[in-house]
Formats: sequence, structure tokens, C-alpha cells
Amino acid sequence: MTPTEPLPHTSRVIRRLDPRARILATFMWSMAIAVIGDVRVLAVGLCVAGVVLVATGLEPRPLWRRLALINLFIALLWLFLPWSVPGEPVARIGGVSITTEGLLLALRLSLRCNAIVWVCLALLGTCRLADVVWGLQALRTPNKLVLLLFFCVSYIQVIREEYQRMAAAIELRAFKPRVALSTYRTYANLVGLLLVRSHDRATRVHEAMVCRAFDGRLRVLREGRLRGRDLAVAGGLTGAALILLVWACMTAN
Amino acid sequence: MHDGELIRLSGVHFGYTGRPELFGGIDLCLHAGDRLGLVGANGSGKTTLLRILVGLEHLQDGSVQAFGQTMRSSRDYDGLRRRVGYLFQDSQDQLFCPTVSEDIAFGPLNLGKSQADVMRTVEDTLERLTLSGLADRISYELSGGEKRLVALATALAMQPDVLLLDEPTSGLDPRSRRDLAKHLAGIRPAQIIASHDMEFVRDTCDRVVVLDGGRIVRDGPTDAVLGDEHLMVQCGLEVPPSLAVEQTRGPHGAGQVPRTRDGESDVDARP
Repeated sequence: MTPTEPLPHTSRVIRRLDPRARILATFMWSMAIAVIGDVRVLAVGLCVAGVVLVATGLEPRPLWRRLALINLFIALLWLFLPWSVPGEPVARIGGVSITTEGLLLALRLSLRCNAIVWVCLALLGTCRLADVVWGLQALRTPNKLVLLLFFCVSYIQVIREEYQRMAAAIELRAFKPRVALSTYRTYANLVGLLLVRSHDRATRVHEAMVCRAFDGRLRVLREGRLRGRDLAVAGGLTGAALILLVWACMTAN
Repeated sequence: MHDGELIRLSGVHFGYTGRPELFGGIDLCLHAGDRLGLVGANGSGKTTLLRILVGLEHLQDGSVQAFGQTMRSSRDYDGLRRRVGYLFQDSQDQLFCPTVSEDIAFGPLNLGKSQADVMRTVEDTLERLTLSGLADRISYELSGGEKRLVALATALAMQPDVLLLDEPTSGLDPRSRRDLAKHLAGIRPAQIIASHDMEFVRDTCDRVVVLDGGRIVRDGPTDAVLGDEHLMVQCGLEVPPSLAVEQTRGPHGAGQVPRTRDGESDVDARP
């Protein structure tokens, strides 16, 4: 499973969904959730995202792997925010005060992040990279942004392979990481070389593209037409996002 | 340029920054239908010469003429690259799209063909190289031989007049190598094949150019050039084993080496 492959799923509706509808729905949802501050509203938002995720019928294993990776970062927030945000103390652990504000902030960020990521995984994670590129172009997204996205996603795997090759070469020469200057130096060399090799590779790929009449605009093999089903999904999710936004505004007042 | 000439290099001087001059006045001409082998020791400049031909390296002196036009600006080279297919030394560099069919479609789409035309081109190209089963495969998951053929397909899909191949057999097993030679024998464009694989050059080319010390030291029919042992040794190369055996036993002798239709030697040429 690589970043360029769509997540395996069972939903026929999702499979036939137009990339433009997916991108629009995900964008509207993410924008709305990003500005909502109320924890209750965010919790409802997470439930809606959960429904979308379940409806997609994603295969559990790759899904859990990705969610675990994302929530690893969230766990770091829970590690630092509760005691580093000033506010009313609710408990003391080893002389450090845990504040209500810190806990609320960590909870808010966890809910927000997951609500956005779940919908992204359901709608964009199940879409081929070429389709996302096509959808973005059809929605008149600036070409440079489309190129950046395409190459970022394409190259995560390439850079990973390059890293694995070098890491294997190091291990084969009896390298054992220790708390020592030589270990740090080795890792520094590895990271430096990874950057250099990635740059070289990117240069060669660009040359290969230029040799095939690339003029700075990505063109993909696809045609599409928006159908009622696409509009219903995009409209439904956008509507849900707007309702949550209005609710959040009302509770804020 | 004369009739039938596709590409002509005249008095090409080139050197990488901070290093001694690599080419001190190269003259080379490629005609329609030519299958030209470019051989030379490591560092003799085979890859660089191909890169100069498609404008990836800039000349310090001399000129490149292609399809009746002298290359002066990057726009001229843009036009040239639409008619010249380039197979890179490392196929991985050439396969950057998620799937095989998207990779093959990349060039034709950039040429401004319609979606229907591109679909047809992709299917035809895959079929021609007997790769139809790979259309939806993920490019980087292919084997070395498959990658090589798909990379060739990406170049052929642009229907070039000239095909430049840089070490096309590197990393290929004998069967993939034989498949590649067969496919190359069956395609129309003129070819320049830069390779260390002398047997492959002998199998696929009718003319060979030897690069050494920044100049072309020999340009002639394949067997006459590759069979010149003195020249080969002088340039850090070796006579292809099948040709060495033929020379030892005599071309019409009882021990003549049988060759397949595409020129592949069928016998083990070890002494």
C-alpha cells in the first residue's frame, strides 16, 4: 500500500463519485470544522465524519494504520498541552498542574483533526491521484499547487525507498545505533544524502518529463461529468458543515 | 543537411564545469532508418552525447541540426523533443505516474492529442510491446524488465522519428534482453543505442561509433568496428564473444555461429 494507491473500500457510490464533488465536499467540510471552536459541535462533527467513513466501507487494516499514524501526533498534544496552557488547575501530577483550558484545547484539536482526516480519508483517500489532479484542474486550482501536490504524493514513496536502501546499506556494515557521536554523524550523513539523492532524482525525473513534451501543466487521461449523485453527496456534506457552523456561531453568542 | 539526414552534430565541444573538456569536436550524423551503436569505456561521454542531442546539456561550441533545423534556443529543442524519444539509463526516472497507462499517456497528452486518440495510442503501444496486461499496474512495482519495456513504451507512444536509448540492457536478464532486442528490431524510428553490452549492440545495430578521449575514433559497419580487436582494446572495450568466435573459426567455417532472426547468438561463446 503506497500513498498513490487509493484505500481499498466497498462503496459503489464512493467509487463512482466525481473527483470534483469529492474535493469540493472535503474542502467545505474542512473549512467549516477548522473554524468551529465549540467542543460539543466538534463532537457532533466527528460523529458525522464517522458516518461518512463507515458508509465508505473502507478496509479496516489500512484504515487503522493511517488513523494510528495521525493520532500519534495527537497523542503528543495530549502529552504537552494539559500542563503547558495556563488556566484553572484541575489536578497536579508530580508538581505539575493540569489545567482545564489545556485539556479542552487538546480535546478540541483531537476532535477537529479527526473530523477532518476521517472525511479526507473517505472521500480523497479512496480516489486515484490522477483523478484528484484532474479534479483540482477542473476546479481551476492554480497549476503550481496541483504540481506540488502531485509530486509530494508521488515522491513520498520514492524517498522512502531511497531511505530504506541506505538504511539497509548501513545495517549491512554492522551499524548499531548507540548514544554516541558516531551514531549521530551517521544519521546526519544519511539525512543529508537522502536530500541530495532526492534532489538528483527529482532533476532526472524533470528531465524525463521535459523529454516527453512537458510544458509545466499536468494532463491526465480522464473525462468526467457531474451527475445528480455527485451533487447530492457534495451538497449533503456541505449542508452538514454549514449547519454545524451556524450552531457553533449560535452557541458562541 | 543532406537528404535522409535526421540529426547532425558538427564540431561539438563540451565539458562539465570544473572538469577537463569531454568532447573536443565531435561530428556525427544520423540518417533515417539508421541503427547506430554508440560504444566507449566508462566516462567516454556516451550519455552526455545523447543528452546533448536532446538539449539537456548545452554546447560550448559547435552545432546540432535536427530535422533540417539548427538548434539555437530552448524552444527549438522543445520542438526536437516532440520527435525524439529518449530511454533513460534508469527506467525509474522515466516512470513517475501512478499507473503504467497513465505513464504512457503522459507524452501524447502533452502533444495535444485528444483523450480518445491517447487511449488508442496507449492500447496500441501496450499491445505492440506485449504489455497489455500491465495497463493498470503500479509502475514502480514492475520488475526490471517490465520497467524497461514500459519506459520504452512511454517513448514510443510519442511516435518519434528518432529513438535514443541509454544503456537499454542494464539490469536485464537474458530473456528480457532478448525481448527488448526483438522489439527494437520491429520498430520504425532511427535509433542510437549507447551501450556497454557489445553483444546487444551487435544484435541490434548496423553501424557503430566508438567514443574515446573526447572524439569519435571509428564510425563504420557493426562487425567491422566491433571485430577490430586492436581498436577495442585500445578503447577499453572487448570484441563481442560471438564475433570473436566467428573470427576464430571463420565466417564460413564448420564452426560458424548460428544466429537467430533478430541477430541473437544462439550458442555459448565461451572458449
